[in-house]
Amino acid sequence: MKIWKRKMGMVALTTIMIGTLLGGCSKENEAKEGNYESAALGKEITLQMMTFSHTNWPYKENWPIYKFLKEETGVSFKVQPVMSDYTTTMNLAISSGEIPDLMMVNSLNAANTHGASGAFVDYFEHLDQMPNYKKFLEEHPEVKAAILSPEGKNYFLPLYGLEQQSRRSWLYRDDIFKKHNLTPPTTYDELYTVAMKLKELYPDSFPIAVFNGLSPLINMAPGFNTNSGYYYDYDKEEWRYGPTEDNYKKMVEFMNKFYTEGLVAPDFMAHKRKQFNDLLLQNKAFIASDYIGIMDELPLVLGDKASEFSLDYMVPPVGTPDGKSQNVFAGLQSDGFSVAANSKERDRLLKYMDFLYSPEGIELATWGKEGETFTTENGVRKFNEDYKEFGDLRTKTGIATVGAHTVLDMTAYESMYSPKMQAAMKIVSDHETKPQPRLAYTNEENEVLSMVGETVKKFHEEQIAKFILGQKSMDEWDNYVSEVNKLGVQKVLEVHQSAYERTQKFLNEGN
Amino acid sequence: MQAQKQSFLHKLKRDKYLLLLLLPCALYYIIFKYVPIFGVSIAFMDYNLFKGITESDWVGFKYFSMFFNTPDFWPVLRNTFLLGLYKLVFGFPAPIILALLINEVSKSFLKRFVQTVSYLPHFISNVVVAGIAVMFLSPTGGVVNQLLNVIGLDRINFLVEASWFRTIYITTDVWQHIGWGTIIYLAALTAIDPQLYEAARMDGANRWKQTLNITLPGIAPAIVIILILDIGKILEIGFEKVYLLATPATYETADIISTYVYRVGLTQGNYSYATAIDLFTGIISFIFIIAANWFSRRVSGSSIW
Amino acid sequence: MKQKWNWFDALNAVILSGIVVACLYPFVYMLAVSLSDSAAIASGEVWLWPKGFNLDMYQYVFEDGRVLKGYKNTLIYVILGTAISLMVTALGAYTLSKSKMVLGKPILMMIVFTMFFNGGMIPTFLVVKELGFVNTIWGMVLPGAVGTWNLLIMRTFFMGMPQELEESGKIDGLSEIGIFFRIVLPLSKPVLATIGLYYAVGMWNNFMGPLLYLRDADMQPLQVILRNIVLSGQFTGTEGPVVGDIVVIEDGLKFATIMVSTLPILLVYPFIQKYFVKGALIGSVKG
Repeated sequence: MKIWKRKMGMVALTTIMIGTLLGGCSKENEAKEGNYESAALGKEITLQMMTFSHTNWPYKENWPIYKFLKEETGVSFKVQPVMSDYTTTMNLAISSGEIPDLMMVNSLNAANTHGASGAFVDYFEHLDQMPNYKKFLEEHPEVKAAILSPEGKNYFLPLYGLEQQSRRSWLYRDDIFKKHNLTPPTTYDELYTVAMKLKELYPDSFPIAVFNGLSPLINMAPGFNTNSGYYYDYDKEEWRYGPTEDNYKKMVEFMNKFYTEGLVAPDFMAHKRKQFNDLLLQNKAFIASDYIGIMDELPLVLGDKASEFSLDYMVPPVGTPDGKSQNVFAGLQSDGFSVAANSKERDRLLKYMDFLYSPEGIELATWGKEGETFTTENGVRKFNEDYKEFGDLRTKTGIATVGAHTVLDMTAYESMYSPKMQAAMKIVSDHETKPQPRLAYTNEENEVLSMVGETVKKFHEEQIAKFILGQKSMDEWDNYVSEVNKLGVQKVLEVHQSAYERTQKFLNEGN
Repeated sequence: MQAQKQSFLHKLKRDKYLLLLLLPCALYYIIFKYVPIFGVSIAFMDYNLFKGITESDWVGFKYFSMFFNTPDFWPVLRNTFLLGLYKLVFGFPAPIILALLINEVSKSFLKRFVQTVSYLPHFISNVVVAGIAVMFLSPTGGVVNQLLNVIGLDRINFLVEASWFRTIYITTDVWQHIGWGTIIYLAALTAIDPQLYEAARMDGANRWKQTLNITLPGIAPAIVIILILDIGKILEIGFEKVYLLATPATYETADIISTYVYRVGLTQGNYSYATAIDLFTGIISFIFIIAANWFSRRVSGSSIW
Repeated sequence: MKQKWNWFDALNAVILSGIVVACLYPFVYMLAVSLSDSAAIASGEVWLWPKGFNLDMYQYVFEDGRVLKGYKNTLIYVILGTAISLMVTALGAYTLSKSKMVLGKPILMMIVFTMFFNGGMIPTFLVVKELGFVNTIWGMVLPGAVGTWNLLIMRTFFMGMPQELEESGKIDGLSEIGIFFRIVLPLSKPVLATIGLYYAVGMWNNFMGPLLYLRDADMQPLQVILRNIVLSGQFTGTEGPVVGDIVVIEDGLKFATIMVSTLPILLVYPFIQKYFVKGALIGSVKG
């Protein structure tokens, strides 16, 4: 009995082992040259694609956008839509050796790691097949700088356009300000004064709405000419660590003042978006730092009472003489696309992806098809009336959802914003930081970042939180600086420095 | 030797029907637990997802020493252990007490009502629990602070005070699982012979005495086994609720192993390091459960194996 | 059974009432919010009773289509999964409760061992994949079929069973298999109900399984759909650009989804409860 059972176990084990080995073997054949003939347009093919599917516009098989793309290219997809925990699903697909032909990767790092092990196509080797992509990179050197691997290769096709939706900005209740004859602040001193005034008018309020740990500091930092992490100082041309700078200290002092005077909620660090929304909607906060989109989205929650609530764009206040009136602009989206190295239709797929970077491809991905999704009147294009707002367009057509585009012409969607938002979008880019370089790190560098970097980050956040909450006196600042430096700030800075130099070298070689 | 072998085969033959009944269960453990167990070797490799286990490079104890050498190691281990210990101290007896209290209710309708209501919180997701905690503990409008105010105490900014974190976590945890935990004890109560109670009443034992001499001994096996299992789970504290309730100001007490793993980005793909940490906590937990089992066998006579 | 209502009963009533209120309130609150209009929720007026009563959110949830399909899938997984789990666990627990059984102790040790050491997600996935269970119902019900915790609990209960019963079975000429099915199982209703409930709820709440082993949107259980609606955006906060994801998920929708997905399993309990009567086991032995 026992022996028989053991045998069963061995059989099962061997089966698995053999399976694993076979999986390994098939992977080795991946470098086989693709079949060039099938790259010709015309023959209809269906490929596998794994992509993220957003709850609010979940993937539908009958989305017209995929129909339009098929008509144009002959390529259609069997989509595996993933709605949550994308990283896990992605990693399982890679580990099982069943990588779909086309796959969204949710970080440059993931694309580079698996690309280097041979899972994905290096696009730079195929630029001759991708003239439009090549041209796109030449026209957008900042994008090219942000998609390289540490070996100077490229496993990550960037998405371009939608990042403009997730801009951060300062916002204020223009209706309340008008009612009390207040002007939006331009400096932190003015911010303090006007918030004190509002607190006087509304004693129950916490005039400045911020939430989620120390994340408010991220967008405050440019006003103090600093940064809440490691950053490249484009003026001084060097890598720096923000949280130990004197300017950062000044920012923390302001936050401490806000906290002490009750200008921010005493438990703002524990607040999530719900509490933040509630404060604004219940007239308990009047100035906020958040995504610009809430200007249009928050009033929707109020339904009939939406007219009693108005948020407007506020130029970012400045805290120090060298501070900049800027919001943090994160730049390129973190998601991109990778093509499986062993895809049977690799060349056809590369051609398809290249089409998405061409002017016709961008137009198709942005607008859909004339007569079906949009109409032209007097030379001006208009989306069909059926689509009430941008989200509605995405839900109904699949336009501007992940997987159905690479580049979008965002100006097309402006008419779907409220007039206030349209006005804001016009000036918002004048008050934005230049995005920080996005670097490619080697495995060793990644280890330093996650080990030393995270220890530093945790210590810094804990200490800064205590300074803000007055649990620690500002007199101990110097002590904090030397402690945090001891944990290895310099090591992390060096990693950024060398990764940055490497990227620059690749870019210069390329020219 | 020969004789032993003989008797072993004899025993196998004697228990053939039992072993046949065990077969599905044994197969399950072999296929779904022991075949994949080769995965622990990931902890000693630079595991590359695409290359797989057979092709990845061996690195020995690199990831273990990495974990032991990070300055976060001791704080994280201490916080995990303390949180687990408090969870055991308060979370383990709570359902037993509640089960005994429910058992004392004489009206069966009320009994059922209390029981059903008490396990509702088990079905509320951690996200919602954290949301409710933030709402109740708000230093300005929260119920708890209003109560403190009424009895003349100072308001407490609970969620940003490191010293309050464990209390909040444990309280919500007890609340979430107290009712659910009673089910097992209530099932154990069904096995008690009612005649024992009648006999006790004849002897003039009051309800306290009955509880002490009949009810508790009746459910003792269940209590012991759950205690042993809970001791084995001391280091096993889920990530989600801690993450949702923690703020940077409370890292001092709130940073535990699972949040460390999350923070360092191991969920993003460094499976080797995450597996190494898992293996480390697994070894400690295994030692805990063996010790608890040994101790229980000595003291109470009942044990898992 | 006549005992006087004394100070203990009074105290007990107070304690239990407190627990009832504490446990009931969040549900009442969520129910009230899910039935109120969003403006009233946003203004913070709702805390016990719905304001601006409407069923919009429930209508939305059910019109979503995915929810009903999820219900159907979940029901199939729960019924099949619980049946398999309960059978395999009961068989294992019963045999291992026989302390005299050959190899019993080492097997138990090896089972407890798996509570602390396992291959992890990827190796387990590879095994399930090699077995061809990915994207099948077996991928949902088999990889987690036996919970070691449940197995050990059940074993403890079987060990507490009166020995005489089995002896009498043996005298009647039954083998161990016969004893198990004819005598042990019928007498174990309370523990079967308990462990069955644990399995059913575990399966009902399972979202890691479908995430790993299911691909087709059509096969997804309710919990995955619920999670997608409720959790989206929770872990992102303001950090990192989540393009186009800056959507305000209304509490009303969240709570309506929670209600829709939890109420059914709550309703099962009262039916199970009839097994939880003191002395039930002994009574049936005598009868």
